[in-house]
Amino acid sequence: MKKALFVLTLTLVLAGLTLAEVGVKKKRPLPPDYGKVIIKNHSEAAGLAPVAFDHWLHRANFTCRLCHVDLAFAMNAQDIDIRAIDNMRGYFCGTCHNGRMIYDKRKVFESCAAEVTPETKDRCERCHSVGLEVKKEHDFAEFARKLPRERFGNGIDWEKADAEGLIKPVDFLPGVSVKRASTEIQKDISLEAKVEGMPDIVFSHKKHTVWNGCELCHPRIFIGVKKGRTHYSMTDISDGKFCGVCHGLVAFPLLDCQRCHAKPVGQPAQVPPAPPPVT
Amino acid sequence: MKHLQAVTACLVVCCVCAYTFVIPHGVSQSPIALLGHLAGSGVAYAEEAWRKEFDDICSRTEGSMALTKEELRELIGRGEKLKTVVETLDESTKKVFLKRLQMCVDLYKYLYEVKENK
Repeated sequence: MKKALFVLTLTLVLAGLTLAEVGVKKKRPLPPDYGKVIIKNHSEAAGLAPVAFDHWLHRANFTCRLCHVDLAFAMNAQDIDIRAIDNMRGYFCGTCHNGRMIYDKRKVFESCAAEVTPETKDRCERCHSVGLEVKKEHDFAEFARKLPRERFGNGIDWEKADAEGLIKPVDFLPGVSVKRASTEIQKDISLEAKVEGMPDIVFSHKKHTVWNGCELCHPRIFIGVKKGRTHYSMTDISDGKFCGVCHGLVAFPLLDCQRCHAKPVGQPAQVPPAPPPVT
Repeated sequence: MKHLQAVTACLVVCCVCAYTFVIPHGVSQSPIALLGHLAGSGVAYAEEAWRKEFDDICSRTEGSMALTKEELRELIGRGEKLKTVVETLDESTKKVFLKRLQMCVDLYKYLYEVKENK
């Protein structure tokens, strides 16, 4: 009887431990996989594996705005509605992946074909690679070695890399992008933290507009038209709303608290300078 | 009567040609729009016209905070009007440019509301 009870207890403990590893705890992705997007809306119907899109490789070369505004890529995988014909007509991935564009002295490989044949199969599987043994052309570790380190996400401090000129993301594609007047930088916004002792949030418009422009965030992600009207909570953000649309998926994750909660505690609120006296 | 028959025959031939030669190059799927394009100064010109208008509308997004309510209203109106043209284009072009246009128009609407609430 005692033996049976022992075996039962042991089974329960082991089952609990197994579930704790895979069923409850959210696993942090490895640095090369952080920001990876699996696109599978039309792949199966075409008889192909889903697409594994590496954000790190693309964000090193292009701004978020270029792809999500000028190329019209949706911000989440479920909404991505790209068919082979779209790429072949020169839209979405096909804007650059057309077999003609030269980037960094290399020809960008052509994406998609009218049908999967033995000749085109290898090309298709460069992107449609989920579950397949596909040799990657770019090595993440080698790429990351040259860039400033960060604790979370890809393990790369992208902001610093950009500021130091180690990456130079392209923001304009001739014939695709619209020539815009330079951005009028909005002031930084200070948001009060809801937890006592937690530093307030300093939101830098400048940092965000450099890569995103205006229309990527307003009004789809940040709809509030008057300061203080929208209530942001970490629960909503963790659920992928507001800042959580990017932070936690591609931009630095929410674990990196002090990157946003950056205002020293006890520092008085900044008072805007008084207007010059009227003479 | 003979003239009417000839015109009808011409239109049919135009439609068939358009579907055969123009659609694969991604101009439009609507026969009415196609005829509109073809009746203009050629397909390229027609494409150029909507694209130019699109570029003009969306080129103001970065400096949009400085736009007046009147300017924003005008851009919103032009954007809504252009949407009806973009909707007649081929599926891929429509998919991309409707989304892009919507983003610009939505930003202008948002800023208009911000200014209204000030």
